[in-house]
Amino acid sequence: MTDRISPNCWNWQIKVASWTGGLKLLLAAGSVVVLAGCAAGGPGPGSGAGQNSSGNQQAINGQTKAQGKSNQSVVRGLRGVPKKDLSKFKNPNNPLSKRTIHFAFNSSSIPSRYAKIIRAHAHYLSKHPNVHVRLEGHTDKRGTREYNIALGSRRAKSVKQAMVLAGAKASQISTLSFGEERPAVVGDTKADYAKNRRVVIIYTKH
Amino acid sequence: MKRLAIIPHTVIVAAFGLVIASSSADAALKVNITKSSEQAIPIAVVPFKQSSVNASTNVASVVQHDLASTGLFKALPVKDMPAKPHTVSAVNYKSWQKKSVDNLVIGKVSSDSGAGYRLRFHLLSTSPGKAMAGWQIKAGHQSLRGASHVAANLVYKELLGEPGYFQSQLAYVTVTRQKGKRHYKLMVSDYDGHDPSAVFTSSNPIMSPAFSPNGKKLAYVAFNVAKGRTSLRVQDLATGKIQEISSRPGINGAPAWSPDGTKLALTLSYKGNPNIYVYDLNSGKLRQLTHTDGIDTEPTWSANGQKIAFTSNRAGKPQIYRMNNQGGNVTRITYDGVSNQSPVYGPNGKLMAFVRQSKGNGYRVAIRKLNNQHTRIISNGPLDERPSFAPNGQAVIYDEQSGPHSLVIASVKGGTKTRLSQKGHVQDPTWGASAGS
Repeated sequence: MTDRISPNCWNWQIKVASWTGGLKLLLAAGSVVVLAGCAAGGPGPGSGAGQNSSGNQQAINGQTKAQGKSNQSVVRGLRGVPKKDLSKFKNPNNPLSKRTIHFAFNSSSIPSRYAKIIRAHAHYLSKHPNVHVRLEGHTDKRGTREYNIALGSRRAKSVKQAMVLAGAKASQISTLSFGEERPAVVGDTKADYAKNRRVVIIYTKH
Repeated sequence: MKRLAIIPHTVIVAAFGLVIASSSADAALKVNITKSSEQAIPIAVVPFKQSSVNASTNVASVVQHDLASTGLFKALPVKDMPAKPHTVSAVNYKSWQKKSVDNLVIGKVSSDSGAGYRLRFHLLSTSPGKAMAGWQIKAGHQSLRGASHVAANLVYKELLGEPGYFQSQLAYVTVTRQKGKRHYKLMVSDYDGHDPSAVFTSSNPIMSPAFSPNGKKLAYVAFNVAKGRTSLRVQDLATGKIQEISSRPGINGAPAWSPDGTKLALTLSYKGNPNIYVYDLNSGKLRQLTHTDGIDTEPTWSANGQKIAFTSNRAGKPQIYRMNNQGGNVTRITYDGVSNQSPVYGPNGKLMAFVRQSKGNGYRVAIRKLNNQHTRIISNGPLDERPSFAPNGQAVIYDEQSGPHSLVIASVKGGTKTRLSQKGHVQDPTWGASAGS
C-alpha cells in the first residue's frame, strides 16, 4: 500500500488527455448537431412543425376556455377537419367540440361520462373515412417519466379501442404519449393534476 | 495507513490545439451544497500560490468543493486557516492540529514553458506531521479546471483507496419557456455543472438520456410531434453523429446500456403494450424479453450484465421486478411502500437505487443493499425521480420536481446534498464516466 507505480500515472495521463480533447470536440459538435437536427426534418424552431407545437401549447392551455372563441384554423387539433365541418367542432353544444378525456390517477379506464363524446368522434370518423386523428396521451407529473410515457400510451390506446368499437377504423387513429412532458396546466394542486391526466383528440392532416 | 515519503509523479493534462467554442448561451448550473456530514474526514485545502499565472480558475477552491461535495470530507474554510503555506517546509503542523485538521493539501501553479500550467501539490498528514504524497500535473491553457479535478481525484484516491468521480460528466434536459413555447435542450456538462454544452435542442420533448459505459455516446429519446413519432437514438458526443435505434409507432423509450456497451435494453409498444426488448448494437437484432398485457418499462442491467430489473404494473401498482438477461426467471423484488419504480443498478454490483412512493411522503429516492435488501430513503420528496449513480457508486443524482425543478446529488454514505439548478426546469439527469476513460 505504500508504493505507487508509475504506470498508474500514465493511465491518468491518457485519461486526462482524451477527456480534454473530448470536451472540446463535444462543444464544437454541439452546434453542428443542432443544425443537423433541424435539417433532418425535426421540428426546429420556426419550421412548420414548430408553429404547430406553438399552437399546440396555446390550445392545450386554453382548450376549455378558448372553445368557440376563435374561427381560425390555428385552434390546435382541428387542422385535419374539413372546412365545411369546422363549425360543428366549434359549436359548444355539439359533443364534437369536446376533445379531451380525463382519467383517474394511475388509471387508463375511460370514465363513463365521456362515452357520448367518444361516440360522436367515432361516428364522425366512420362517416369520413379520409379524416384521421392522433390521440395524445398525458399524465400528471407524479411518478417517473418513462412509466408515465407508458401510462399515457395506455390511455391513448383505451380511447382508440373505444372509438374502434364505436365504428371508427383503426387505420384512422394513431396514438402518441407525452407522459408528463407536456402538462396542460403547471401546478401541484389535485385539480391541476386532474387536468393533466388526459387524452386529447387531434384531427391531423394526413 | 502509514505512507512513505513523497514519490513525485507527473500527471499531464495535455494542451490541445483546438479552440473551445463559446458556450455563453448555455448558463452553468448554480451549485448549492445544502448539508454536510458529521463523520467526514477533516481536511484543509490551502489556496495554491498561483499569483505568477493569469488564470481564472482557483485551483484550491475547485479541489475543496470536489472533496466537500462527496460528504466524505469536511473542509476547513479558508478564513479559519492558521496560515497559508505553499511548501512542505513552511508548514507548522501544530497549528493545524489545533484546528482538528488531519490532512492538508498545499501547492502552487506556475507557467509551463508556454504550454500551459504546471500544478505541484502535496498531501500532508498533520499528526504525525509528514508528507504523504506529492504530485505534479501539466495542464493546457484551457485545462486548469480539469487539472484541478484530477488533483481532487488523486487526493480522494490517496485517502479513500478508491477512485473519485470528479472527472465524470452529467447529461440532463433543460426546459425553458419563451413566448409561451417550450424549448428543450439536451445538455452535457462536467459533474459539477460546469462547462455545459447543448448536444441536441428541440421544441418537442427530449427524454431519458443514458451515457454509454465509456462515456462517449449518449442514448436518448426525441419527439417529432409533426410526424406523430418518437425516436430512440444514440449520439456520438465527439462527432455529433446520430444513429437511429428505433422510431416505431408508439413508445421508443427507456434506453439502458449493457455494462459492456454492446446492447441497449429499451421499451417498445409497437405490438400494443409497452414491453422490454434488447437491441444488439452490432448486429441490429431486436429481441423481446417481456410479454405483459400491462406496462413493463424502465429496464436496468446489473453490473455483471446477467440480470435486468424493470418496472411493471402486472400486480396493479408499479413495482420492481428482476429477470435474467434472456427474459426468464421473473421475480418481484419490491413490496414495501405504495409503489416502486425506476430501478437502477449501481456500478459496483452492491446497490440498487429506485423511486419509492410512500403514504404521506410522495416519491423519494431509495437505495437498497443487494446482499441484505436493507433499503434506505435518501431524498426528501415529494416528487423525486430518475436516480442515477456516479461512476464509482458513491453518489446518486436525481430529479427534484417540487419547487423549482432542479438536480440533486446525494452522497450514498455521507448524507450530503448538492443542488444544481438554473432558471427554468432542469430534469432527467444521468451520470456518466469521463468520456476519456
